[in-house]
Order: sequence, then C-alpha cells, then structure tokens
Amino acid sequence: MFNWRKGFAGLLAVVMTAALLAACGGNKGNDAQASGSPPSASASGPEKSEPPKGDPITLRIELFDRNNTPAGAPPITDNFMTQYIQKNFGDPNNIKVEFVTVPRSQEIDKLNVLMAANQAPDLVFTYDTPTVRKYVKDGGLTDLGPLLEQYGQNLKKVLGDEVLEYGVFEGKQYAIPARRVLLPQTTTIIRGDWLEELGLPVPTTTEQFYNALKAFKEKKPGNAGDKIIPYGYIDYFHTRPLVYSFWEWDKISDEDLFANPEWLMPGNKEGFRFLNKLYNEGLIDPDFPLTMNKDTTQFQKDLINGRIGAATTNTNEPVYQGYLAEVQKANPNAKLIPIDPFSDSRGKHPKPVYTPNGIYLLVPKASKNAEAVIKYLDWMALPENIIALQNGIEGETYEMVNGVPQTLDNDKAKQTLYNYTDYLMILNGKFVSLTDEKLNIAANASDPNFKDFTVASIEAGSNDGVTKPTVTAAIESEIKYATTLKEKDDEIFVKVVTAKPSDFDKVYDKEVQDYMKIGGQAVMDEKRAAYRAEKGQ
Amino acid sequence: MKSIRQNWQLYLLLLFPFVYFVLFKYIPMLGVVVAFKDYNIFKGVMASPWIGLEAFREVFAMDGFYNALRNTFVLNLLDLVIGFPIPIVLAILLNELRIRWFKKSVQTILYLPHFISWVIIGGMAVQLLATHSGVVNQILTSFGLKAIPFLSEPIYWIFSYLGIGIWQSAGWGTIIYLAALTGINKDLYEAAEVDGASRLRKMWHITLPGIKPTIVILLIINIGHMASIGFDRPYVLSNPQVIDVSEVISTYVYKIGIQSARYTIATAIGLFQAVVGLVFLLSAELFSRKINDQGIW
Repeated sequence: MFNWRKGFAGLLAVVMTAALLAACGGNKGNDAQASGSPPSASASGPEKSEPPKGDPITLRIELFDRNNTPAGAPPITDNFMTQYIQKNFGDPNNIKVEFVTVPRSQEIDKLNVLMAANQAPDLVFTYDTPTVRKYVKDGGLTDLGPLLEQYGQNLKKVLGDEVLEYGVFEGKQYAIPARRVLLPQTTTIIRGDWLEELGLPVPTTTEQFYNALKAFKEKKPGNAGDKIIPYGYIDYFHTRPLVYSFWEWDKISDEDLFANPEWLMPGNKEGFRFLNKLYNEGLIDPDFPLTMNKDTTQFQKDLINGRIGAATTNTNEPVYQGYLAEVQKANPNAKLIPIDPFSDSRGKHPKPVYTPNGIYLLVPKASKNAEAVIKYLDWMALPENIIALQNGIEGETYEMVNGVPQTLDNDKAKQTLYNYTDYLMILNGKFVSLTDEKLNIAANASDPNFKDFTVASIEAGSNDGVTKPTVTAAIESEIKYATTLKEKDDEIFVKVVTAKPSDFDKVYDKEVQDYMKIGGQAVMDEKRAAYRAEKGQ
Repeated sequence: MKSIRQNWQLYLLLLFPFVYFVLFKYIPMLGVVVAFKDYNIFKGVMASPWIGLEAFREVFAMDGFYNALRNTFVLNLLDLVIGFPIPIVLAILLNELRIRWFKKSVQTILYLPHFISWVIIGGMAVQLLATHSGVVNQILTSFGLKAIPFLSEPIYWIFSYLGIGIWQSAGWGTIIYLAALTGINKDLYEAAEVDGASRLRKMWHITLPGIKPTIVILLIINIGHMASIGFDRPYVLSNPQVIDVSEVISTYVYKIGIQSARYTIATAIGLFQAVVGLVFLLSAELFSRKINDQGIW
C-alpha cells in the first residue's frame, strides 16, 4: 500500500489558508476579527470608555515552547514569570499581558505564517538575520527608534549603543537586539581522569589533542571497552574551532572573512582532511550523520556512560543542561575539564564567538501596541525585574552571595527557572552589572557545584575569539539562499568527513563547486561588492 | 425537492463532508495565484505584483529540483512495484485462514504500525538500523558478520525506506481488500468445490477476479500520486549522507519554499506537481479503460 498521508498537501493547505486569511485581512482592514484573530489588537479601548481607566489593552507576546517543562512545573503561560509580569507591569499600566506560544523548532516557519495571516503577536522575535531583513524589505516592521527614545531610556542603558546598532536596518531601528552577556559559542571538554590514567598532558595543541584521541581509542581507559567514542558531538557548528585552527589566517583579509564562504577559506580543506582522518581512524562517532543536528540525547547518554573521551559542546552546556551532574553521579571519579586545544600555525587558538547581539525583538507593522511593547521592555530592563525574572524569588529559588544571585539546589528553582530567558528576552545570559564583567561571569556560574567548570569554560571559549565583520546593507542573494546554503553546509560536511581518504579531494572539490553553483557564488559576489562599497577598497 | 424533505437527515450528514471539501480543498486552490505573484506576506496575495511565469522559470533552472523530482519518481515507482501487491497477497492469505482468533490477531498485529507516528518510527529506525550502534548490526557483528549500512548508504537506504514503508502501511491496506473479499458470493466457492477445484485454483479464478475492481481503482489512484509523496516518511528517515537519493519534492519544497519563506516558489512547485499527478491519473484511467473496460468513473 502507498503512504496516503499527505504531509505536503497539508503543509501547502496551511500556507494557502494563511495566505488567504492575509488577503482577507489586508482588504477588509479592521475586520480582522472576522478572520479569527483574538480580539486583541483592535480592542484597545475606545469602544467602552465609561470606566475611568478604560478597558485594559491586551499586549500579546511571543513565547517559545521548548517542550521542556519539568515534571510538576506549571504551564509556561501561567507560572511565576507570567504572574510576576502581570502583577508588576500589567496591572499598574492597565495592560493584560498574553503569551502566545510558538514551538521552538519551527519558530521561523510559524512566525512567517502568523505574520502573513496578520495574527502575529505585538512582540515577536527571531535569531535569524535573513528573516529580519526580509521583513524590513517587505515593509512589515514598525520603526522603533522614536518610541525607544521616548519610553526606553532604561532599556538603552542596559543594551548599550553597540548592541542597538545591530538592530538598525536601512537606517531605522526596526529591531531591538537582545544583549548577549557572554560571547563564547563552544568549549571543548575532555575526560581529565583518562588523561591522568594514561599519563598524557592536558592538550593545548591540535596535535596533542589528536594523540589523546588516539590513546583513548587504543588503550581504552575507563570501562567502556570497544564502545569508546574518543571525540563526540560532531556537526558543522561544533567543529568550527577545530577547522579554524587549520585556516591560514595570514592569507585571510577582513574582506575575505566577511565575504568568502567558509569552504573557500585557505586551509579549510586541510581542516576537513583532518576530520576525515579522525572518521576513518574511528576516532569520532561513526553514526554521527544519523543524529546530527537532530538530537543530542544519544551524546549525553554516551557521555554519562563513560564512552565519550572528548567533545566540543556549547559553552557551559554540560552545566545548564544538567548532564555534567549526571556524569558525576554515574561515576564519581569522572572528571570533565574544559580545554582549548585547537592551535593554528601562529600558535593562537582562533574560534568563532558571538557578536554581542542576541535575538532580534520585533514589532509587526500591524500591531497597534508598539508603545506598550517598548514600555514593557523598558520595565524589564530595571535591575530588580532582571534579577526577579532571571532568578525567581529570593530565599526560595536563589540567595544573594557577594552581590551575585546564587540559584538554590531545589525542585522549586528547577521548576521556575528552566526557561527564564524566554521571558527575559532583552538579555541572553545572566546579568547583574553594567560595569563589572567578572560579576556577570560569576552570575552565570549559577550552579555552585560547578562554578569552576563554568568559569574555565567561558575563558576557554572566549580565548582568541573571532567575529566576522558586518555591513549594514542587505545582501539580497543571502536572503534568498541562506537556508539552502546552510542545508548544503551540513550535506557537504557529512559527505566530506565520511569520504574514503582516497576520494577526499574529489568529493571536497565537487561538493564545494556545487555549493558555489546553487547560490554560494552569488552571495559571495554580492557580499564583496557590498563590503567594498561600505569600507572602501 | 420532496425527497430532500423526506431524507433531510441524510442530506445534513452529507453537508459536513461537503463543507469540508469546499473549505479545505477547493478554497485553498485559489491560493495557486501565489505561484504567479511576487508574494509579499505583509501586502497580501491581492496587492502583491504579478510576475507571470518567473517562478516556474526559476524552479526549472534549479538542479536540486530535478534531483528531487527523479527521487520522487524512483521511490514512488519502487513503492508501487514492490509495495502495492503486498496487501493483496496478505489479504488473500488472511482470507484463507480458518481459525478465527488467529486470523483476527494476525490482522491486528499487521495494521498496528499504521498508528505509530513517523517521527517515532524514525527514532526506532536509528536505534535499530544504525550502522554501528544499531541493535540489528550489533547482533550481526556479534556473529562475526559485517555491519550493513542500512541508513547510511544510498542503495541500502532505499531498501530500508521501502521496507519500513511496507511494514508501516501494508497491514492497513489489507483491510480494504479484506472488505472487498467479504463481498464475494459464497456460492461461487461452493460450486467450485463441487467441481473439484483446488485451493489455488479457487484463489486464482474466484478470489482475484472478485477483488479486481478494488485493485484497479487503488492502482489508478496510486499512479495519480506518482508525482506527489508524503512528507514525513522521507523527512524522518533521511540524513545528510543519503540526501542524493532521499531528497524528494515534498522535503525540497519545505527547504526551499517554507523554511526560506519563498512561498511563490513553493506554490509553483506544488502546482507543477498537481499537473503531473493529473496527467498520470488520466493516462492510467484511459489505459485501464482500454485494457479492462474498467476505470474510476
């Protein structure tokens, strides 16, 4: 029998219906309620103005549903965070704050549909720059500049000019970027107890790292035997530090760094040759393509069961996802240490770090509540609200230690704080001080049991960090091809790493040629032109 | 008019599917105009400028599109050749079983996978069939055999795709044929028995002709679906290593059209797909009429 499911047809139907609704909404103007939108945007007051304060405004705010609510915790739309916001911001301002959930993994698809249907919340957000640029180009966003000037002084102070600059498109403040408190992306960790067992040094160069992996494979420290995976967590993003260490940095100009696809960087091929060698020598998980970018639970399981020797994870991920504690519970002797092993020919340890802007906060043009949104974000930027929304209730979920909130190790804290960033959207990472960076790092080491691990992770992940230059002009071809090229990155990554060593050059050249053909060349040419236009030769 | 008043309950019941089709199948069809417009989600469909056939031109210039189209045909054709007869065979075999409880339980076990979501099947496939950590291959290697790259090499992947698809849906398909089988006149079997026909002869001369109309209709419908393919099955089973054979139109549209918010392109491909499907359907119908004097209409 055939598969009768019509996933595609369904998908298209959804899009079509959304498109139709958009058409209706667009033509009939304010009859939007007829097409099913909750009576929010248009019910902002004037209809029944007998009571002195009028009906409350409903402020609709997007909220990521990460599907990670711990057992026993209240729903994400009615918990400590939402109640705190309603009580301290909503009630005094006669605003009813309503959270609209969007599944994290389909964030962009869903946002597009909401936007097209004129049903987007008053405050929406995305990490994806091409999506923001597309909205700007299509005229779908509110210019927040004047409102920010009028109502957002606290917000401006917390974010700072450098961060806000990232939200300027075509000369207008169409987006308010969140401030990223900590910039490192990834940190490599290694089983320190295994190194000791085998009498190996803590790796500080790529070569020492390779020797350690080799020794893990051959001498089988711990008790996983043949099941050892010397180097885990393999995907495009998390192998950047390794690959960057092969780049010939003295041959790469700022313009190259901005415009070149990474596949064309001098030395990139050698980085992949090295990864290919690791694969063919059995030093990385041979099944990595099956779970890559989909699911890291297998990795966590392997790590906890003492099968993983080393891995490059998101910085501090073992702490904030809680699996470092599990590793220690499963084997009290296990010692994971953050290291910075990948060294280039100059002896440096280059690795990408984030720019200081986080998620983009946007107000759709159709929203009538832009002013309330800015007031909301400005309220959020007050220190007492930052502390409360990041740490919960003093004495119950955290306590102050030397001016730094320290999360308590109890169920209440776990159930309250697991998704705090989704409410406190203006900051990415814990934040206590505008001036003292050390206090902020300490605040992010919020689990007292692993404070040293966190601090060391952040330091290793920041060392010799590289950010790519940016231009303010929109790169049209990038808007068009970005998603396709990103998928292609993953495809090439897998094909090149798993190729037979004798085929490596052939596969690499063919795939990269393909990449250039399906949009890579167009993006590179346009980026080069834009860079030269803005920065001069 | 009178009959409507008399049987209004029946007409009322009919109203719901009717409304369903108008609301979810016919009205969305108007959306195909998006394929001919530079669709701006904020302006809406009507206000977006016309671009004529520009979107189709762009689609037909994409290499990936032809690759996806080819894979769609190949996977669908294999599904048809290998997957289509299996429910028929299963239905006939089940029909021959005499012990009622055994027949019922086999039937239930066979169609149970139909109710498992593809996402879960995808997870199971990795757990079972992964080249190194999968249970099946661990058993194989423990007997000293070589591991089989079920999901990591194109040719093997195609067979895994087919096998998993058959496992998931064959039992369900059997039900339709079993229903058709109950419609066969019992007298025919008795008459054949009197004439001394063997079991196989009865199957060949009575059972199969009895369900022939059902087989033909399902075959025509399946051929009509040649250019379209479900989204979830290829999507969950695919991985970057086999993308050359696993990228099909539905997943390609998702990538190019939906994820990049290029609805014009997505709609253009969708329209193209519908047209190809229609051509296949009509030719199958025509062919079947010529050969068999039997078709859908």
